[in-house]
Amino acid sequence: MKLAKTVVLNGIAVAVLMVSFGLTGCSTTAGVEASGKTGWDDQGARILEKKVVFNNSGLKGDIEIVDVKSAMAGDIMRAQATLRSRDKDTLPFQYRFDWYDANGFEINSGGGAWKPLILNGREAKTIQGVAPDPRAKEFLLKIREPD
Amino acid sequence: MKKLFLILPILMLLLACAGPKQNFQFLEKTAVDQNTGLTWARNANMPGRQLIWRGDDNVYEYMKRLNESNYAGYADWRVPTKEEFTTIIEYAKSMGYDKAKMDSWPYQKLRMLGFIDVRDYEYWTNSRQSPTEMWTADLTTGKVAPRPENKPYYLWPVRGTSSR
Repeated sequence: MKLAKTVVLNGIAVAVLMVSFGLTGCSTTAGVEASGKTGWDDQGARILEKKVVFNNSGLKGDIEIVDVKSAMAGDIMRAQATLRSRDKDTLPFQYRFDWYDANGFEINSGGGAWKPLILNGREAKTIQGVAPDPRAKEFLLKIREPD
Repeated sequence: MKKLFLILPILMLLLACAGPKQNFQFLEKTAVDQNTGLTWARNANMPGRQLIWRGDDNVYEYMKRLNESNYAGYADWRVPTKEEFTTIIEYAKSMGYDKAKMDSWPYQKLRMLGFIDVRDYEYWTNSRQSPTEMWTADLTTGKVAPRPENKPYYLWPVRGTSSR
């Protein structure tokens, strides 16, 4: 009887732990993120350091970030990303560009609105963002499922 | 014979005043090194300030703009190598160098030759020493040595290929 009680208690403890780990996992920002940071190569030429992060997202298997690039229009940074749906069905999602200065501080924090976009089955689309001012040296493209 | 004794000291005086053979052919915007074949910008401080290597408005971007503007009729300006800077410094020193005399330092000699705004500071070369160090040329001391890349230095564009 005592053994059975211990087994049940242990089972509950394990279940609680699993749920809490699960919740922790879900608490990160769900979505896809692609970042681009201005850098300079050994010759001093401007380059874009790119990174794509999938944050425990349902979009992970559905969306592919094909290309991320950046260019300067005068002293204003512009960013562009090409997204492709891996899904046969229509895929609605939202995206937003956040901009950061050379020290990693966000410019116009929280100022960018989420924009809706729909990818039809297997379709690829290009989205663009323009930095709010010349301080921007880094961007983060965030993609999430619609509310 | 008497005439010869008169002419000889005059000739010797003229030779002494002449100094080393003029090495550069100066034009309005350029100076061609007759020994190496390199063409230097006559103005040794065209940006008017020191530039950084990595970052906005850096050496790379300045050189790009200079070539796009077809400066002095050329679009192949570049940053000199450490060997090219060593050559021009050696030439400047060959005109009489004394560590204790400021007016004999390389930047002064190069100014006297006809170059414009040669700075008493360090200049970029395009020679890399390590991921964080580039060779620079100090036109005050004449020393060409590796220096931290994250500091700003002056830029003196050159074009052509050295024949030496």
